[in-house]
Amino acid sequence: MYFIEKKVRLPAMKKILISLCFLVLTVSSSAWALNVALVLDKGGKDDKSFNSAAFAGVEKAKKELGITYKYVETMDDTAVEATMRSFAAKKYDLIIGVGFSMAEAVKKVSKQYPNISFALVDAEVDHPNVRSLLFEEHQGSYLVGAVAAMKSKTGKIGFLGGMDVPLIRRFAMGFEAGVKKINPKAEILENYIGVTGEAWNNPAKAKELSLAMFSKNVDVIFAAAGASNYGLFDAAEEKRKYAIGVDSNQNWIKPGTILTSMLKRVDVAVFDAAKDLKEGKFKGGTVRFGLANQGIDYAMDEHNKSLITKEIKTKVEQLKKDILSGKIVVPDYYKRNE
Amino acid sequence: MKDALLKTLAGLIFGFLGAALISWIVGESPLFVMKVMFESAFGSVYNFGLSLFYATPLIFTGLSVAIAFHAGLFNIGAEGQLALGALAATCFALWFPSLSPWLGIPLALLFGAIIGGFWGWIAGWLKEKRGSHEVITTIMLNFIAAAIVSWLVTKVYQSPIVQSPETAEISEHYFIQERDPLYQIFDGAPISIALLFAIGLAIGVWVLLFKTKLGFEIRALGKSESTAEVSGISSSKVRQIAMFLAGACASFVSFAEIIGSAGKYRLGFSPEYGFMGIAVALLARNNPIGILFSAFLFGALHKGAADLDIETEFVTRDLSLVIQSLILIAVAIAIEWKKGRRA
Amino acid sequence: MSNLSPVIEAKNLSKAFGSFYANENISFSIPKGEILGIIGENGAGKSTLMKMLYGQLRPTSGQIHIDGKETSLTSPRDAIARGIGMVHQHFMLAENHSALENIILALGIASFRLMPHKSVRKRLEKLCSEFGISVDLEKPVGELSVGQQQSIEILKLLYLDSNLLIFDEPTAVLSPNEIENFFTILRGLREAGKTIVVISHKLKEILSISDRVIVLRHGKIVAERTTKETNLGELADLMVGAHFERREVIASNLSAATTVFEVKDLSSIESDSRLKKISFRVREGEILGIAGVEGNGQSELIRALMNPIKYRAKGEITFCEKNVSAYSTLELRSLGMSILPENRIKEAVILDWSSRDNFLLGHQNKKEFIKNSWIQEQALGEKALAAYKEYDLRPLSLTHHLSEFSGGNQQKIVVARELWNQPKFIIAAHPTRGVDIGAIERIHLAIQDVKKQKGSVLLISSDLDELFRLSDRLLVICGGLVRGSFTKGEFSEEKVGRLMGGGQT
Repeated sequence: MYFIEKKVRLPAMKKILISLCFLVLTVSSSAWALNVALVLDKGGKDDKSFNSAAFAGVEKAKKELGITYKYVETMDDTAVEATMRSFAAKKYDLIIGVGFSMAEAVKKVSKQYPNISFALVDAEVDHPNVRSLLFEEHQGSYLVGAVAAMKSKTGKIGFLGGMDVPLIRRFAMGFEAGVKKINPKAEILENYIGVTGEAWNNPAKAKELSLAMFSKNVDVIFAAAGASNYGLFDAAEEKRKYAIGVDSNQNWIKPGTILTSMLKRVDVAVFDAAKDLKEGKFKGGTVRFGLANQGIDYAMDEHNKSLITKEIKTKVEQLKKDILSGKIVVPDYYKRNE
Repeated sequence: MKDALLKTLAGLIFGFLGAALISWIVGESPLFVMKVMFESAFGSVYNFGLSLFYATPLIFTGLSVAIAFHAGLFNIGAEGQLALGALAATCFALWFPSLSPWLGIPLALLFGAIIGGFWGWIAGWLKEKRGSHEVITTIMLNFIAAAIVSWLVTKVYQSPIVQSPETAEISEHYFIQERDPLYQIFDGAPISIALLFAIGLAIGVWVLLFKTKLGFEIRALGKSESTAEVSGISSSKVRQIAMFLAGACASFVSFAEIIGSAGKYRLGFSPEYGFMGIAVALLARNNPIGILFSAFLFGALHKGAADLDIETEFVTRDLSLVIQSLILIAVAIAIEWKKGRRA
Repeated sequence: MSNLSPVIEAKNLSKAFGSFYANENISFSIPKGEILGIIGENGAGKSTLMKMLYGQLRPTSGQIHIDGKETSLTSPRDAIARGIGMVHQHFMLAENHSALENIILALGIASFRLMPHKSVRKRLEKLCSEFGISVDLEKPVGELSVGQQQSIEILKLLYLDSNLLIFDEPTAVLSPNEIENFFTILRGLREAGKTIVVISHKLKEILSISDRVIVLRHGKIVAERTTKETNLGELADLMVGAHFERREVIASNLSAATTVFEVKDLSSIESDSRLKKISFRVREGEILGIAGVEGNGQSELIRALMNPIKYRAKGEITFCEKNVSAYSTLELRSLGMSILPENRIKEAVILDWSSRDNFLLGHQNKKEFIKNSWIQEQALGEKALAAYKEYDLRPLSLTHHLSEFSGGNQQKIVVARELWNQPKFIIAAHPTRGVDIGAIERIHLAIQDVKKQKGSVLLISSDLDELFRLSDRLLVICGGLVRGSFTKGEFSEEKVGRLMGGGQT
């Protein structure tokens, strides 16, 4: 009754309602469907970067594996644990924490609910029911660093990090090595947006910092800052300079401005976790994604074809091979003290 | 008292009616939304514990705002006071990791209170010396506190083993969660004896304000500075003391958040408790005992709304905030409602 | 005189607030060209009545007839349109603007056009000469005297063609000379055929200006008199509702008394202080009166005396043979000083506190009330109740908020509090302002009692009756300086009034 009334009043709701009915149908008709909970960090589902990648992973799992999912965007850090507990209490099969800030909560809740599977992006929790998904960010950063150095005319290149944490320093260190490989005399400017989770979602400040770098003659900037990346893209377009995106393929956002994107295939990692669980192959422990298994890469598509010349592409592919063969060892911030 | 209770109840009813309307408009069954909210706030011991957990810091910041308010000062600076005070308490615990809990925790809280109180006092002192308005100075002091705290946490006390900006864990002499009687009752909700302390503090503040000479002077100053002056009350002294006490109250958030649940200082742990404290205090008309209830209402609503995002299809995170605020506004209007009399 | 048809007529007007009737069955009529005085104590219903006539309140029952027609007034705008104008006790003027601009503002004709200075000015000048009003139309109002500000308010009404002019306590803020001037204007208005209502509790003035008097008590008209046929005593009795006896005040014999309080060349640090350099002394058991038109340094003097550390610029203050020039209020109070401040509401009480809590103000350091910083509630309640009983507080309550008491009873609370504990020296500033006759008598008695206990009083007032009655000695100040000194027996309204206005003896 209630829904019928609604349809009359708000025709726009129609589609949603139909899909809702459909959803209800699929849920009831497929009792075996996997329930996946996705807990995103402060960047939010629409950051077109890190969280969007994770979201794309569960979307794909829904389409290809027939899972159902529910996602939540974190309001504050205290809420994460309660949210995960809610999901666990509702007997979700797989709970995915996106981002290192979820580590603590995953650690606590996974211990309380040993029968539920967890996946955690960017941090390690050593419980048998937790799969930790780690990425070799420095390798991809190295490659886009090389691209940046080849495109730069001024020899001045910028790195803009989101939150100033070791993870992002790892991006920076790999990127710097890539730049120096091509142009040992290049000058690199490094800056970070903030020290709290807000840094992932502060495009205004990102723009300000980018403009400051451009005004110092920098002509390519690589940003690893989640939803804040938009600030860089805006600034680069305004000043007709180049930007490099991160995590998801961001080339399409501003074609002609964005040279390439350092891909961190969180979507693949998330999808694989769901797939393995569905196929009964889910195991805890740490899974590493790098150039070797295409978990890390750089993006080439129709949006940046004209920007990346054949020579550049050849050179980068060569570097990639050298890394895979061990000929080049990319410096890793996590192992800086070894 | 009875009057206030009835008004609150009426406000809640109207607020929930409004919430029901919104749920209905977006396409959720209003009854289902109400049920989710109720269960999320009170549905289990754990959920109820979380509601109390969210309420606890708000009691501290609400009291902070209320004390200043009684002295006629608008303390927007509870956020900064609690950040510095809580970090100070954490630092104390890190510096003296092996003190016994009976000595260590009170001393850590006291040290936090002194630092938080000092931060509040600055605003009182500036008003006295330079005539700077406390609203401006406390806002500015918030920024300064945030900067100091983030520098200290990330550059000095950063835990080396984690990505997030947070300090190392305090020792188990301070972090007594496993032994905390309330923690055990509430089935793992991060609630702690800090709640009992908060209730005690509220009673203490009430006694201070209404039964002692200092409280009398604070209230007189707040009601009428000129009358206070003619009565021989030193506005300068009383104002500075009140701001110190306000800062000290805010600092006790550390008890709930750090000693009671997290065991370390995490940068940005406060979802603006300091600012929510303003609403908590105003809703309670700055009555310390009333603050216990209004903080609980805020906590329960916060918890209730949190699960809407998970449980329902159309009520998103943002919409749950709308619903939460709507109910609070309804209560606020109801409490201030007077029989209309038009001149 | 009432052969003319009435300009305005009230028929059985009543106004109820809940079950309380502020006005009940009020009927009267005012013929053209009459000055009607309405007197009554505070709370007798004078303001309610005027607000109904001016459209600010709607009567609960009864009618108002204007020029013989029944009219319902819904707003002041409505009243103005029908030729009714009101001058409030507190003027409605923008202080930074000139008289001309203020009048234009009030007319609401400036809206989108250029200010019509010229035409308004022309008409105003004509009105001024017609009614003998002299005002500088160009000066910012804030720089004009209170009397001139009042004239501007009158001009406003005349410009609006008001035929009925209502004045609410018009003389409260005027100096004696200004009052005389004001009365002249009123008489001129009457000559020109305007009808005037004056609300006041100053019986003397009503007697000298009005043609007819209506006495209100408890919301009802208790008497109506033709002014020529009544006298001060009768009106006072009617107003209070009982026979009223004024006791004579006996002057103290002070020749041998010691000095309790002495001030030498005092000036204030306040930025636009009008206090220049003042010296005087008050002896044991003496009431020293200070007369002056308001705004001639009295306020600054009071502040500098009660909080010298904050307000004194130069000069020396001695109290009980101690140099207290750098003392705080708290220290002075603990030496035995008490203060009845100028502005009761702002400085003496806290309106939303109970009468009991208000009693503690100023006594918060006395061990009778505070032990080890705990408030001794029982002792406070007992002492306060006893003191209030002595002053016949109505209602005699410890729990009512101050805002629920009438002005007179509020002042009784302040006096009871400040005179408790037999202070050695009291600064009494306008102790009976806004207070009804019964309370005035009680407060005057209390001030005299201070003398009996060898206390001294500095009485600052703008009410010459009060000063003449109570003072043993009287100083007149003008422009922040002492212009003259009188001892009891030499007081003369004429001489004092002239000094107050800046003239010579």
